[in-house]
Amino acid sequence: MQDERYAFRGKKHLLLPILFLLPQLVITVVFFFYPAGEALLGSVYMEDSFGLSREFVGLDNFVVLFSDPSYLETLYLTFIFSIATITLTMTVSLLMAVVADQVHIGGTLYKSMLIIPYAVAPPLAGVLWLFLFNPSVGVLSSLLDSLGYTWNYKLNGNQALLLLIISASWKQISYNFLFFLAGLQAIPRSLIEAAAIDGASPWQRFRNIIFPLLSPTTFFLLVVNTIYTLFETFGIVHAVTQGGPSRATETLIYKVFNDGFIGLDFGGSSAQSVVLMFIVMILTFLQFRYVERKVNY
Amino acid sequence: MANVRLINIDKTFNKNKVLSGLNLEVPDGSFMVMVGPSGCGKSTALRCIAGLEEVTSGTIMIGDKDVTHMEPKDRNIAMVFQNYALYPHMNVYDNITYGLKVRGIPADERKRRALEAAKLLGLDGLLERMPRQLSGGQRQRVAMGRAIVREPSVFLFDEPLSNLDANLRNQMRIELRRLHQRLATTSIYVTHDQVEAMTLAEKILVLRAGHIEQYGTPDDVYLRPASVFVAQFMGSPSMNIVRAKAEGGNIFLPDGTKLSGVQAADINISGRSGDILLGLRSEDLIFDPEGDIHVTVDIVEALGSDTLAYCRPLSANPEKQESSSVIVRLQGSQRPASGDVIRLTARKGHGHVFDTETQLRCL
Repeated sequence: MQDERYAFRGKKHLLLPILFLLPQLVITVVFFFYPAGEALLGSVYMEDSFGLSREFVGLDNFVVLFSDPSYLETLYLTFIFSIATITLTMTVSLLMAVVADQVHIGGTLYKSMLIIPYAVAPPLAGVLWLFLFNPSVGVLSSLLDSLGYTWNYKLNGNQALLLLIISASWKQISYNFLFFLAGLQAIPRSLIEAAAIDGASPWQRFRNIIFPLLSPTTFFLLVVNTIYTLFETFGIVHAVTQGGPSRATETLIYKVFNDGFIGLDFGGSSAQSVVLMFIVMILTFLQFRYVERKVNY
Repeated sequence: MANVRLINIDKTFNKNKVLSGLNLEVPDGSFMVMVGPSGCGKSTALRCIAGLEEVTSGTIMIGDKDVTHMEPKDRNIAMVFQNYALYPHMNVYDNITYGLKVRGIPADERKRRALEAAKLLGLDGLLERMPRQLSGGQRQRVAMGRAIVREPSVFLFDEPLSNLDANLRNQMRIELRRLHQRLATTSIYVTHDQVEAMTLAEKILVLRAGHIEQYGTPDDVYLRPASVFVAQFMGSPSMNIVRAKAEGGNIFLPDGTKLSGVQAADINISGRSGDILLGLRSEDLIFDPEGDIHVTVDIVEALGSDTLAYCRPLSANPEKQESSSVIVRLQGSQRPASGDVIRLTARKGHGHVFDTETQLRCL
C-alpha cells in the first residue's frame, strides 16, 4: 500500500496542495507581504502632501526620525507602556490562574467568566474603561473625586498612560489566564503532592516546582504580549486618548498612524513602521535566543 | 521509627463511601502490603495516611502522635509514587535533596546523606543527570532515594513498580526487600499485584470495597484465607471453588462423588453438615489414575515449569454436570490433550471450606 504521506510527491501532484494552501497564501500576501513591502519601499521615498509625486531620498527619513527628540520620547514612552502592561497582565493572570486552579465548586463558570474579556474587541475594551474613568461621567473618576483625588486623564498625561495600561492589560489578561490555567493543569498533581510531603510550603511549591514548570507557557506569553503591546493596542489608544493629552500617550504604533494618516507624512510614517518592525524582530529574536535557554521544556 | 495505627477510619467522596471502619495496626519496622482489586480503597487509605486526603472520621496515629489533622510535611513520612513524581527540571541530586533543602538542613549534611543514599541505590554516577535522561528503573531508584534521605519514620509506596516491565519489577522487588532489611523502617505498600504482596509483605491487608477482608501474614492469607474473596484473589491461578456437601465426616461433590482425599476431619469441620463451598488450589489437585474426581481437559497452558489444565468436571452422572471450570496444576512434563478425560485426587488436608451464605471460612 502506498504511504499516504507521499501522495503529494512529484510535480504532477503539486496542483492540489497549492489549491489547499491558496486561501491562506492569498490572505498572507495581500494583507501582510504587500503592506510590509509598501512600507519598506515608502520608507526610502519622500512624498508631497497631496500625494502627487514622490522622490527617492535614501535613508533620509530614518535620519530625520532619529534626530527628532519627540520620536525618542515616543520610543521611551512605548517602552514604559509595554513593560508595565506586560508585567501587570502576566502577574494578574498568573495569580488568577493559580487561584482558579484551586476552585472546585463552580469552577467552570468562574473560568468561563474570566475568559469573556478576550472576546471584546480592543476599541470596545478601551471605550469601556473610557466610560468608567471619564472625568465628567465616569463612575470610578467620581469615586476618586469623592476621595479627594482629582482624576482627569484628559489633562494629566500620567493618568492617561495609566488608564491605557489598565485597559490594555484588562483586555489581554483573559488570554494569558487561559494559557496559564492550561499550563497549571498540565502539571501532574503527584509532583505537587511529592513537594508537599517533602516539606515545601505552598509558596515554596509555587516558586520551586510550579513556576519553573510553567516557564514554557510564560515564555510563549511573553512573546505574544510583546507583540500585543506594540501593535494591537492601537485600537485602545485610538478609542481612549488618541495619543493625548499633548502626545503623552502616543506610542510607536499610534505615531505611525498619526504622522502617516493625519500628518500625511507617508515617508516618515513608513520609516517608523519599518523601525517598529525591526524592534519586534529583534525583541523576538532576543527572547528566543536568551530566555528560551532558561526554559524547561 | 514508629508504628502506624488506623482507628475507625471512614472516608467518603461525594456520598460515596470509599473506606468504612478501618481498624489496623502496622507494627514498628514491619513491611505491610495493602492489596485488593482496583477501586477497593487501598490507594485512598495510603493517601489518608500520607495526609494527602482528609479522613471523614477516625484517627490516624503514627507512633504516639495523633496525625489525623496534620499537614503531610509534619507527619514524618515519605512517599514513593507510581509515576515517580520526580521534579523534571531538577537533576537527580536536587531531586533527592529538595526535601532536605526546604527543611533547612545544611548543605554539607545534605550532600553526605545524598551520597549515602546514592551509593545504597546504585545511583552514584547519575547525580548530575536530569530525570528525562534516566530509564524507568533508575527513576524509580531516584524516587526511593528521595524518600530515604529524609530518614522518615514511615515509608509509603503507591504501586511503585507497576510502571516497570516484568523483569525489572522482579529485580526491584528484591532490592526493596534488601533495602527494608537494611533500614527496617515501617513501610506501607499498596499494590494490586498479589505476587508482590506475597513476596514483599510481612503482613498483608486484603481490602475489598473499603473494608478489611483479611489482615495477616502471607502464610495466613494464602493457607487460611478468611473468605472466598481472599481465596480467589491471592494466588495464581485463583483457587477453584466448587459446591459440595458435608455429611457424616465426608465431603461429597454435587454429583455424589465422595472425596477420598479431603475429609471433613482434615479441615476441621467434622461437626458440620449440609451445603458448603469447597476451595481447592490448582496445586492441591493431583493427577492420579485411581483418583475419584473425573474431569475433561478443555484448555492446556504449558508454562514450562508446570502445566495448567483448565478442565470441566465430568461426573458419573452427566445430567448433574457443573459448568464451572476447574484449574489443575500439573507437572511441566504432563501434557494432557484437550478433550482427554483425566482423574484427580485432592491432596490430603489441603481443602478450604467456606459457608455458602456468608462466603466466610468455616474453621
